[in-house]
Amino acid sequence: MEERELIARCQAGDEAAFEALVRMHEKRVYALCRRMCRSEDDALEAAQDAFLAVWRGIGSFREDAAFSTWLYRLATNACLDLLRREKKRSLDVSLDDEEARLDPVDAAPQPEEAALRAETRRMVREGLYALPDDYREVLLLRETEQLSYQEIADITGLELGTVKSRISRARLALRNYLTANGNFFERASSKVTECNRKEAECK
Amino acid sequence: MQVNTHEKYQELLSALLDGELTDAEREDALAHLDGCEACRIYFAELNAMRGAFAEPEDIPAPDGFAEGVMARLHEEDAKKVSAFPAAAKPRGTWRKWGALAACAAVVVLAASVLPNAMRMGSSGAPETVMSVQSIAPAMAPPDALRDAAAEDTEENAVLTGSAYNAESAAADTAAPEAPLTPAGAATAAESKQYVTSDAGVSVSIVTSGPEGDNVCPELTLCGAGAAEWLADNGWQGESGEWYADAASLRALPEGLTFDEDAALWLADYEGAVRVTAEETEAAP
Repeated sequence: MEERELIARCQAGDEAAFEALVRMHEKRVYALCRRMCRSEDDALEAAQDAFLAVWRGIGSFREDAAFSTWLYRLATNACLDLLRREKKRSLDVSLDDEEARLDPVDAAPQPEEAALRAETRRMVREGLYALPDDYREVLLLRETEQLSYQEIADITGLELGTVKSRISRARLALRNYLTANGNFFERASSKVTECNRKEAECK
Repeated sequence: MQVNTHEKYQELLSALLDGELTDAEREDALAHLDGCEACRIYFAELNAMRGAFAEPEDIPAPDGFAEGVMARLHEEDAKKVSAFPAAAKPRGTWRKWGALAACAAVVVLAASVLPNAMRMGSSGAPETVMSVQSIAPAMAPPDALRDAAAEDTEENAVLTGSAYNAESAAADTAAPEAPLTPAGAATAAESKQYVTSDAGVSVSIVTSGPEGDNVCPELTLCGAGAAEWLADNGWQGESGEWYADAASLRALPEGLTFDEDAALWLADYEGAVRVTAEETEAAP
């Protein structure tokens, strides 16, 4: 069933339609929450919070608005709220266990390139968790969700210029972290070629 | 380091990476890359990081997720309880504590371990306490503290106990210590706002916990780019909080502010300061 139809039914109180809407977007929302929040439990709670917010707010959702923008906003807000609450309690999470479940465990020995890629991804993930929540938020929306600056501005409620500068600062912070913690840039250097500039020219 | 001269280009290069520049900006950025080795390296680093971000589809949703949502939905309906605690509360609470803590001259800067191996010398502690006491306005009645404490039990545990201790300690030490000039005290008594106003400025002074938790003075940095400045000039502690050196806080760029009265104790203080950044245009 089409999304618009589902939304209309939700607005009329149709719970079955809402459940269908959840299934339609659960993967994307959960994945974002999982990257924003370090632990699986937090991600699950935030993702649920996001959808509950959808249900509560669907009555005032304008038909002409983009549902995904609104959903992203609710998801990132749910994560930020939860992270703020968690910081106050300073939960002691077993991070190694949580981290291990992010990547599927591959029993067969990986070819060197794949191992390298997994390693650099892990380093970036660590770096992301080390960043302030606001920086992590915009970087995930840009790099993982691949949203435009304008879309990110719509979701976060920030000015376009602020989105631009915040993403830049977030990248700088991540780069500083990666430089200080391990040899990310040495390991990733095989991917960094002079084609970068040519790539930029082609854009 | 030459980073400052390339700050403008760091942002341009970041936007170049995303294809979000105007034609004129692109020309500018590419021309700069031609002549600047440092920026070429930086741009390469941005690309390297991009390549290491995971694909969106990598993470599956847990089994039974939708059922879980529906279950919570019915649970909420049954209990008629809101699922969303007021997000503004933590910040609001800190502001309130900032106001009352300051009013009651409750400042206990324990000479305990600070993050990043920066320590307050024992000579630093009495000086700082003195200077803050001198700027503190008249003490608030203990009732005000109790009322505020009742609203948030989490803050209670950390602050209330030592608030009363410090109050009596301040009373003991205030007389013999001969605080800074009466003029300073008088100015403070007219007092600027300690609570957060529309300008978004506040000062929270953290007291030590009963177990001697790690503490250091704290302030809130406001303005567009506050978080960015903090990321560039500060460092993060283990719980994710940010700190900056007092010296760097005394040399802020234009547009970033904190409460004027914080400047009084900051003038004499050396070492780490816990900083909370408040972007003034961010949605609450």
